[in-house]
Amino acid sequence: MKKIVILLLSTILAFSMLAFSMLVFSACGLTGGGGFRTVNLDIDLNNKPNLNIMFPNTGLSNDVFNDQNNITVRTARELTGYTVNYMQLAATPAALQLHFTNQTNMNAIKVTKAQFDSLVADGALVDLTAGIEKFGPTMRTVISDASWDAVTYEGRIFGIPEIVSNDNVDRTLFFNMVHLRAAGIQTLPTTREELRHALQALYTHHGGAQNHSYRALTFGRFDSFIDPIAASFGLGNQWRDVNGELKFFFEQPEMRDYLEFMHSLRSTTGLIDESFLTQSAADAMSKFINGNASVIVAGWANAVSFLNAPHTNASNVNDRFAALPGLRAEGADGDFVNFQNSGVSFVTVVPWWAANEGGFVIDWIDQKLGEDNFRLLTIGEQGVHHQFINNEYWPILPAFDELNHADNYMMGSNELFYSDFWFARLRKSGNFPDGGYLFNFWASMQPRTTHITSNNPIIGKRNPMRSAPTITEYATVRDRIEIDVEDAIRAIIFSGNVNAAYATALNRWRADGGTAATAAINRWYTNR
Amino acid sequence: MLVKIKKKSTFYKVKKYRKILPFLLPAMILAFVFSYIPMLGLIVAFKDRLNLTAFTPFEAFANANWTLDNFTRLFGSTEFLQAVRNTLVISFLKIVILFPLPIFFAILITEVKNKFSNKTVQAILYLPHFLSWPIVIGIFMNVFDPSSGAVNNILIRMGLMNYQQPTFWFADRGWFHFMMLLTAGYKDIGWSCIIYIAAIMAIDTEMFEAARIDGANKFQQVRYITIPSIVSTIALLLIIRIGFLMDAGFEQIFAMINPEVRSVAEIIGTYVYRLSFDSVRPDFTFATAVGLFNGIIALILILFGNWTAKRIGGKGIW
Amino acid sequence: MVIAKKEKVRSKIRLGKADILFEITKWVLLISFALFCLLPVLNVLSLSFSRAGTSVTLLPVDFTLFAYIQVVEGQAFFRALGVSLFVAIAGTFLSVFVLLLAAYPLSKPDLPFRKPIMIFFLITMLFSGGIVPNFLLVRTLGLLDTTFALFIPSLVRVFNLLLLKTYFEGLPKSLEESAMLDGASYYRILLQILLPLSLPIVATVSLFTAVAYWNDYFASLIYQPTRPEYFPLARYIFDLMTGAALSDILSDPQKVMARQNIQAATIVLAIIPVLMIYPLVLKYFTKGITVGAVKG
Repeated sequence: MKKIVILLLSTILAFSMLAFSMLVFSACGLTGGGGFRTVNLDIDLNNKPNLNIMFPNTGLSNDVFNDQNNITVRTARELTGYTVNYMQLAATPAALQLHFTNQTNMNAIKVTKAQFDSLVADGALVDLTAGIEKFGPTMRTVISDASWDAVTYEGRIFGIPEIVSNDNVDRTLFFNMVHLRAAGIQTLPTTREELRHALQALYTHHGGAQNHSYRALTFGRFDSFIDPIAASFGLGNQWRDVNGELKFFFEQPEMRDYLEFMHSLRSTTGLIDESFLTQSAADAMSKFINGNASVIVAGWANAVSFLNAPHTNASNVNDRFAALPGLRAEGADGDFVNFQNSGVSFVTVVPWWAANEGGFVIDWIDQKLGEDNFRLLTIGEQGVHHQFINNEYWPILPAFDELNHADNYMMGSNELFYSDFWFARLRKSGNFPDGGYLFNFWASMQPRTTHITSNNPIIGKRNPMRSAPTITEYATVRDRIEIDVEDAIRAIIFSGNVNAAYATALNRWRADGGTAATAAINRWYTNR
Repeated sequence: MLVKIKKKSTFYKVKKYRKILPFLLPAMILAFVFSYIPMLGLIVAFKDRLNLTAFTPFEAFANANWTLDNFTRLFGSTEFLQAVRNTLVISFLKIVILFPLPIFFAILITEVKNKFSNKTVQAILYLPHFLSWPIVIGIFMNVFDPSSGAVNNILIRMGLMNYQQPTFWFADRGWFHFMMLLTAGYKDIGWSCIIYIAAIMAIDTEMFEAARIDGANKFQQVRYITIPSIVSTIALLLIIRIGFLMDAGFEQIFAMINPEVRSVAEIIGTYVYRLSFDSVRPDFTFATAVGLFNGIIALILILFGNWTAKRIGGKGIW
Repeated sequence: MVIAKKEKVRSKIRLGKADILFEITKWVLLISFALFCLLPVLNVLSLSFSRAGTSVTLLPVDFTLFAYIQVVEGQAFFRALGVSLFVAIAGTFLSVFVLLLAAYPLSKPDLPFRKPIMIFFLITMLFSGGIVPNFLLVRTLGLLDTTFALFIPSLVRVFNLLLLKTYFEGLPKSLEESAMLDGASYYRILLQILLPLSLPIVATVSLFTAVAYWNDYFASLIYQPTRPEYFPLARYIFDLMTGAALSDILSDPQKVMARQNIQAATIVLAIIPVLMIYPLVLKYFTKGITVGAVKG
């Protein structure tokens, strides 16, 4: 009897202590976001605080991003009057969520459009509409309505959008042409079978079964969906307009054909590096540079790494490597198709606990977006870092290299000029009037609709979702189901059993929110 | 008579020990805050979603709706069921394969009469236990690396492996259980010997003398003296180990997990972790429900194990 | 007379064939197992001293200190080492202190509420809130991303408490009684009488707590979501292994190639502190826990 009483008393004591501690804690916790906090408009712009800004992971060490080491940081400070501490987001999937849960001390963060959608649907962001009215005169003029629409949710603006530098075809297969020619093939493949044939020839030339460290094609584990190959099957960007409605690429029946083809390549020894299952893009690049692979999935921007490769018989980089413009199905003719990036790529947002100083963030960004400031920050001083010739911007090396990481610091973009400035960057490897190997790689991949190039038999496809606003049903499931799809593609290419595995993965995507998301997306798409 | 009763009353005892009772406070307060309050926190399993990106924990808790969905979801979730299956399989394998080995080695070690050799062997065998799991798995990942690891190199040179298709020991679902047992054995077998060594050393040496005089050889001595003498210890430890069936070894498995082996490697613990900390959109409430389910089953098993141990051998964990 | 005869007989018993087989089997198996324990460590040791890209079995290939230089040059390793040292020292000290304080009263058989209090502690061994509630609690306390979260939540280790309590119970009461007659406070009795007498068990418990803290990466996984600067060594190695925290390594192609060697060097450096206290552990441990384990 006594025991029961004691037990009872201690339980009551415990619960009352808990209730008390809950009271205490809720008293000292901040009240959260939700109800859309707005920027405090009553601030004195002359009294500038230090800002803490976070941006996406660059793979570089944090030491790169300070005042001493980086001219962009310095210039920004001098031009705007704000001293800024820059931080990188970790590369793990949950990093963003954890920062928000932890209320990391930051004034603003630059996130991808997908991350933006997820955050805004959760109510974690500050409503910037009024703040932009008051503190953002420049950005209202240099950022297009389409971009503002993409970051508007329930009629209010929640971030400052940044668009892609140019509607580029970014990724394709790069070939080591020295190897290719040595294997007896003088030109890049144009069909899938020619690709297979080329890979086989490369493998045989490098010793075939005798050489166990060489594989013809290598790529990292996040690159199993290879754009030019997929495009040759008629697959689209992530979303594709099929009879007026948007369909997710994984749902397209052609997906099965792509997986079959890739698996058949993988099953033939030596054509594809088995390590694609686990290795990083850096590992793949390392093999390509070492000569242990001759074809790699890369973006034109990665081509800078190619310079590290040893070379024979070709001192000109253009002769050493080439970008594949595209592939066709057998017997098909006409132009190649590849996928362009387009629309809003990044959004700079203010987390709910930083609402009070949101006005300063808007002011800071606004100052950076004016044409002159924007030019200084992106391509530096005329005559020092760049020159203006023939209505085009050309870099002055080696000074221009100081600005290598400038795009990390960009928050919002001056859409009127960004593309032009960006071309200076693209010409980094050249000397007027030659654009340089980087420019040539890029140009060989681009569709002829781009005003810079012509004669390329390439058609570019832009993602129809590029101008989509936040769609809640999509935003709340997107990243999770898309990671699952990516994992499935990789696993199916590696292990085969395509029909069954593909069906399983597809059903899973649908059940986990894919169907609901598609429906919601199409509600927007058909009514826009 | 009255005086006697008074002496034993609680009030009197409190008064007697009033100066030492406060000594208990730090430990009790810490235990209350860090063990009991989280138990009360399990209540979030009954909420639908904790939106921690926009709210503090209490607000998120208050904003969310009460629901039993997390529990109904448990039995429909293939991922969860897979995690349960993996937990049981891994734990079972560990018991069947790794439980007997320390007994076996303990017997051998106690037969090493030379003090120096004995101490040396023990020192070597206990060492892996003191390495952290990341280090142990890191070591094995290097040794078993598909392209540059020692194991594959030796196998290729011996002709047992095709160098064009090296085995990805840590990324192959077929090899996962083997690697899991290998690394767990590496870290724990030596250490687990200790209890058995202690038990064996407690056996009366006269019995061995008598057996030797009677002409028994070492094998017979082990079979008829050593093993029977420690059977009760073995039984006790086995029952307790089974009681902890739900503990498949989070720290080890988590260090070995990757997308390729996840379907056989994900245990309940790592599943909970992934839902909460490795997701782009964490599902805290469901993760808590999974954890609660796991905790209750584990508790039942442990209590049952302890009760059984007491019934059979008279001794339990407490 | 009889005894002498027995001894003579004893020494005359020759090892039979079965016994020789036993001896051989015993040594083969023990040596194999000992090699199994040691060889992987040797492999990693050699790997750390080898040139990148070579395949290493037991000896370094192209001996070089490159990997070690990379580890030592970067700050991350030493930062993690410092965190682990802090956590291990502070955590062990606090934990043992708190547990000693609690074990002393609990060792008194007539302590009021003794059983409920014991149950109070024992329950924490059987059931816990789990990952998410603990995370929420630490978040609410504002301890996320600190080094304190690495040891404070786990200070009360009930198993150690039981060991200490049992040991105290086994000490003679007379010492305590005479000290109390002399007017000593409980605190002084604990520190000046009981503690010196309990050195073996306290040393054992301390060493085990220290090793537990040193090797723990689980706490970091949950309580340190966003600040790599505060990672303990075990977590640092885990990240290295899974390829997560390699930003400073990825940028240099030479370092990428040597990633495994750098990993190996980090592991070797991390093992050294453990090896240094290992003899101490062996010494106290064979006295301390064997007794406790057999008793329990």
